Amino acid sequence: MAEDRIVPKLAALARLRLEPGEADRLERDLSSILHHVERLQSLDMQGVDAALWTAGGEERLRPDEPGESLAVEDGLGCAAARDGRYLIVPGMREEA
Amino acid sequence: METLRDAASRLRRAEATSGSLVEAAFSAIEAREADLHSFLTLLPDAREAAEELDRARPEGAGPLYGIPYAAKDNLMTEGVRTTAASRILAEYVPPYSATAIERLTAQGALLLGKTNLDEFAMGSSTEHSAFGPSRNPIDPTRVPGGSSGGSAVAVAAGFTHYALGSETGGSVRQPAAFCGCVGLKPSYGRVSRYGLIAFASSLDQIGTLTRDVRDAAVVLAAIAGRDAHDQTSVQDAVPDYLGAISLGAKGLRFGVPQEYIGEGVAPAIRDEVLRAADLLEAQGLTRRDVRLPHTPYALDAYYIIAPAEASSNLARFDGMRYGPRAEGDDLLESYKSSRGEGFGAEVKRRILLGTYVLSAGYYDTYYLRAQRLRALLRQEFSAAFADVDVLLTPTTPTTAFEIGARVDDPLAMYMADALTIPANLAGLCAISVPGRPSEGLPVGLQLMAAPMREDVLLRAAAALEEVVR
Repeated sequence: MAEDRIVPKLAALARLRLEPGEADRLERDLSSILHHVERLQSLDMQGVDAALWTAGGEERLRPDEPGESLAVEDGLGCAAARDGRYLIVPGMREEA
Repeated sequence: METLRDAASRLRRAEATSGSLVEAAFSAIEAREADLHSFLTLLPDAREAAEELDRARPEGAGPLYGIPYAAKDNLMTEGVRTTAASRILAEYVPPYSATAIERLTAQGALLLGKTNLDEFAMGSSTEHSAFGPSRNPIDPTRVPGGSSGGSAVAVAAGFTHYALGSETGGSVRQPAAFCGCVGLKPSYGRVSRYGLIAFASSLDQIGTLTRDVRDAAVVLAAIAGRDAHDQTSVQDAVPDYLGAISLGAKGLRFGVPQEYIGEGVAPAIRDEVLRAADLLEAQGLTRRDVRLPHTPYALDAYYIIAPAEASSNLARFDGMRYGPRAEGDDLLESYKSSRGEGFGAEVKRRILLGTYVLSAGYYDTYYLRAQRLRALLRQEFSAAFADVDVLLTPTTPTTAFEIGARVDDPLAMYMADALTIPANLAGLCAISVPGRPSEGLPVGLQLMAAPMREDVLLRAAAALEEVVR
């Protein structure tokens, strides 16, 4: 079961601003979902390896060679703000 | 309703043109779209594109040539707005198209529009679209299912002969069941995911919505196969699916696992599955007993694994590269505001859930246990498919529910996918075929087959479609 008020911490980790009423509701939702999925804890899965692979059971990597890629102009075409080939973003502020 | 193959025949015999098909589609859309809301974008230049296809029609044109289709709006389309039904991508115009779209275009298929979905494909009713819900064409007070609800509506309402959707936990099969059409989820790796906006990459797969099983075979053959842009797409040659169907289904072995017709499944749906089983046996298929005891836990594993992957995949949407940016005092505040304003409630719920199960102290408890359960499910399916060729189950526990009935209760909404999720977790191929309606509402019959055995799946599905009709 989720402990008290987990949503503010998770929202900070996930870079999500939530309104106060929204956070309360998400707190309730997460609590009920996590309570439901806790059924998995009751299963004996000793000796079962986690399925951390996709179907086929093998990892496929393509050769590490240069290939075609998007032109900068295309890739940045929907950016909120830019200057030529650079994105313009708000400044970073150091923690006090 | 006319099938894709029948439309292709009319085009071949010069009894129709691509232009006349487009006009018919726009007329049908004009008559009902205001009530159903299946599309987010209609392509205004489809008429000109149809005229060009008619002018350039080659001898021996393929079965898709000149026929309009719809695509779910999480499939990238070069130069055409692609929103994933999210405010955060409301004005996003991709610089390239998904491989599945490219392959259809190369065969002369004509994209008519982009269809509505639950935001980022997260939902089972299409009510979680930032642009408003779609409605079921059989009963517009009810949901069409989701997340590929708009695509199912487009096919079932007669707007297009077929549509592309996508699956992560049943998002093609479930709306197909609710709207009374055929929904095919190919095996993981059968169709390239390149250009499909990622939700949960180990589960996502592009699928088809069609008016019958043979049409599903035609569209699958057109989009399947290895793609260098997706390293999880398989090398295997694409079989002749229509040829496989022509072999018939006599002699195939099937099972009806008890775990899929027990508690929570509406009696009328369970009865329809058992009726279908009897009819298949009468057609010469052999029925065997099958047990899949970990099935009830699949939903739990899914709602750990899928949000975990979603929380990672959706980190890229931060207001800087793809769409509207909310201002903030600094970069971090701008990220938070852009994402807070850009994502809807269900997406936020899943991002937070995913962040929780991946966070320090909970990873082993939730994520690793869910992945172990996934391994167990795969083992069970693998053992089952040693004894049977296909599994017959309901697609959904209930028929289409009323709009608004579950939208504020996430657990109740998630239950709509309880019977489709196992196939995604195990990478199987699966299909929903319409059975006999219950109280006027469509009922979906699901068949599942081993990974990459779409040929067997479609043989059985064509037989099922015929016997239940």
